[in-house]
Amino acid sequence: MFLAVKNMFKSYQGESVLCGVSLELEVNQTLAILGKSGCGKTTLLKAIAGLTPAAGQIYVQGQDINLLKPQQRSAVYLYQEPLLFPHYSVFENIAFGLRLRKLAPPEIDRRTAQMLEDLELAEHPHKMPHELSGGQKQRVAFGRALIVQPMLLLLDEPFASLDPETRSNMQALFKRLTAEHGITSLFVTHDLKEALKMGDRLGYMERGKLDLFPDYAAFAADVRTGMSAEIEFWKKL
Amino acid sequence: MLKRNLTVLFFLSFAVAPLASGFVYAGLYSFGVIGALSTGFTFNHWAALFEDQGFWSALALSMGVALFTLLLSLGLSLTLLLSLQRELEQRVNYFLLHLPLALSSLVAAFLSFQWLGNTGMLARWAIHLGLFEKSQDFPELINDAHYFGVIFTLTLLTFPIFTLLLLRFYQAENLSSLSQVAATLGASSKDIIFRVQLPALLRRITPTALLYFVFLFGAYEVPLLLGRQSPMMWSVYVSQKFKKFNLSDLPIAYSSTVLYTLFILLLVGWFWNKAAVSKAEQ
Amino acid sequence: MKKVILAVLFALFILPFGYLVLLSVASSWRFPEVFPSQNLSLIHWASLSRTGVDWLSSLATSALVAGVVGCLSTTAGFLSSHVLSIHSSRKLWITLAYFPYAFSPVIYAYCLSFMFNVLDLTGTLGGVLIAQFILTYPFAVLFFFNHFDQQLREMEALARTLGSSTTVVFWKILLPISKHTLLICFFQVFLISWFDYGLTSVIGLGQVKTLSIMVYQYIGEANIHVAAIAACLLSFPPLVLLWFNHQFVFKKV
Repeated sequence: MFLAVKNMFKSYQGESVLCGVSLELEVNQTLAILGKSGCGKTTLLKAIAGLTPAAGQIYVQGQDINLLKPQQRSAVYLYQEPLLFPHYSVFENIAFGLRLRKLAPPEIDRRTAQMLEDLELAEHPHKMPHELSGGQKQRVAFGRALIVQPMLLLLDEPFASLDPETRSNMQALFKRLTAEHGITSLFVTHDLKEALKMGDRLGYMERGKLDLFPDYAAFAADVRTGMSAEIEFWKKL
Repeated sequence: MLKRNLTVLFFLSFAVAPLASGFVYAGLYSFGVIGALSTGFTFNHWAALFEDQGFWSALALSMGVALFTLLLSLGLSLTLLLSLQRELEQRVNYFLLHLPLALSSLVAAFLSFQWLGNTGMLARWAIHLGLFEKSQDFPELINDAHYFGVIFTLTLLTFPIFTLLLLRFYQAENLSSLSQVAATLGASSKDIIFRVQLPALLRRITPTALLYFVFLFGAYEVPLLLGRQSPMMWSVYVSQKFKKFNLSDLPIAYSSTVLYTLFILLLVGWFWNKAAVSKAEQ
Repeated sequence: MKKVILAVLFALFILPFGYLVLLSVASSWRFPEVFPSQNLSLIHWASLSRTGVDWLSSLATSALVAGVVGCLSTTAGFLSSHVLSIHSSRKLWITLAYFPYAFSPVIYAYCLSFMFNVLDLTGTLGGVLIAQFILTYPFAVLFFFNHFDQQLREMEALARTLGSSTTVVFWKILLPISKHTLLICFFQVFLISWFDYGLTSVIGLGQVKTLSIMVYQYIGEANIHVAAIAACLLSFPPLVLLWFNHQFVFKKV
């Protein structure tokens, strides 16, 4: 098993946010977690990234990483906002992680240029973040995360602030790039359709508890996911 | 964890401890527990402070000057903003609005002294225009009983800051668009000002205005140069008590310091506990 | 009408600076003359350079005090706020920082003077530096509380998940992003210190002669032309800083 999270517990001011969350994920798979606001999905991602302390074990390739610092986990967390570094150009934002790893400059240039191609941003390497559209910003944020070839990508509703068309394009781009780069990821969303599109596996989170479904049928059968109601709606039309 | 504790210790040492120790020292001094002429715990110095007419007039005067200056500055800056908002946003005008920030209270007081005094620029112009014959005929505008010179100078220093702040709030609250929405809903120009713009701006500026009330209440340099020997504003009154080199005056000076501290504590603790915290969190 | 109001307003703002220069170069300006009758000259400026190094050393003292206090308070405020703004007692720290900030500097100085007497710091440059740091540090802490918002925190966290150490996050992310805010804070602390009269007069006991102390001294001596020179020296550097800020900082924030 590539990723195994066991019995994660976390509480804020006496209120439980994670109540014994466990999950397992194979390499190159995406687990889409559906859940309403405040269900604990952001806390789960942050705990795995090491950004918030939580009790439990997180195994990546059999090694418990829960005591490692965020920068040692190779788990990149992507926010809803692209959070591009405003003082760096598109190129430098994407190259950021490579520079930290002290790669040779020609190698950094080559890989960054390739990533810009993949992101269809090859024409804008010198633009500053404020000169980009919302979709472009989110693509740069993706590229910046993917280029360091993280073991785990943690996405916290990354497309929530985009318009439907850009959102759809980004979903396709995400599928293509994660497949090409062999990325394992957790994708949190409150959008049913997005969860279905992005996830190889599906989960539903409510009040700090995560339920994983073995297949689409089980997911659809759970009324909380809203899938059966959605199907009914379309049938009635 | 160590970094966090060290930071808290540093903050407590340099932001809290100096004032707290000063307050405790002043308190002990005011009750006669310590000091050169200390004879043990007594309320006499406090009684002397409360019997001092100068103290009450300083309190009332500081309140009055602060309140009047604040209202005047607010009124002036709101009027300016609501009538000239677009013009003030222009680059050159926006810079010019910052110019009074380069004047210290002391220099501003000096300038008012030079302009408003009975041999000042205004008096010279008035005589030149034939309005008066000699300097003595010119009305007292500085060191005057009504503290006109003080209020005038403090207002000149305060209202540009308020105007800049209000300009920022106007943009932050997106009042241009809100006004257009109100207009499409049938609001008249007067409605837009009184029902949309003014309430939004006043809500945003209230914590800052209260902070300025405290600043103005404690103003020192301007009333020192442009005020009177009697009545004095509080900072000048306290300062005079300390400066007199009369040892029996010191406990009274410390009593008034304690009272001033309590006043600030009350205002900050009571009001800002809500307003300032939410402002800082914005 | 709008143009007239603006013209009057800005004349009111520009006039003081022009008047200070005029007063400083007027060799004689008798009442009720509206303009100085004799030729304008640099006689008062020249007399200053002849009669000693007082004003030059005052300029240097003011620059030194404001520069050092500006650097120290901005740095300490930035570092403190970075930690305190995510502390569980952040509301308490905000409230506590407001007390000294709201205090009248001269009364604060009298509160501090006993401690400075004990530590033998009154009447010394070091004493004035420490006192001004105590006055401006809480201001800087409050200033940066607004700066360390959720977005900046998230950016720091993101950089950490991308592999940055705490040092790299500080130097490569936090500092470059905060550059302009740091400059504005420095500028404001510099101004508070540069303009301060009350605290410096009480703690410095008149022996630490900053420009503000000199202005007051010359006004007291009714030496208005020399006071105008000191006032010019006190007002024009902030004017230049203001212009610099406007050109290079405000538009980028």
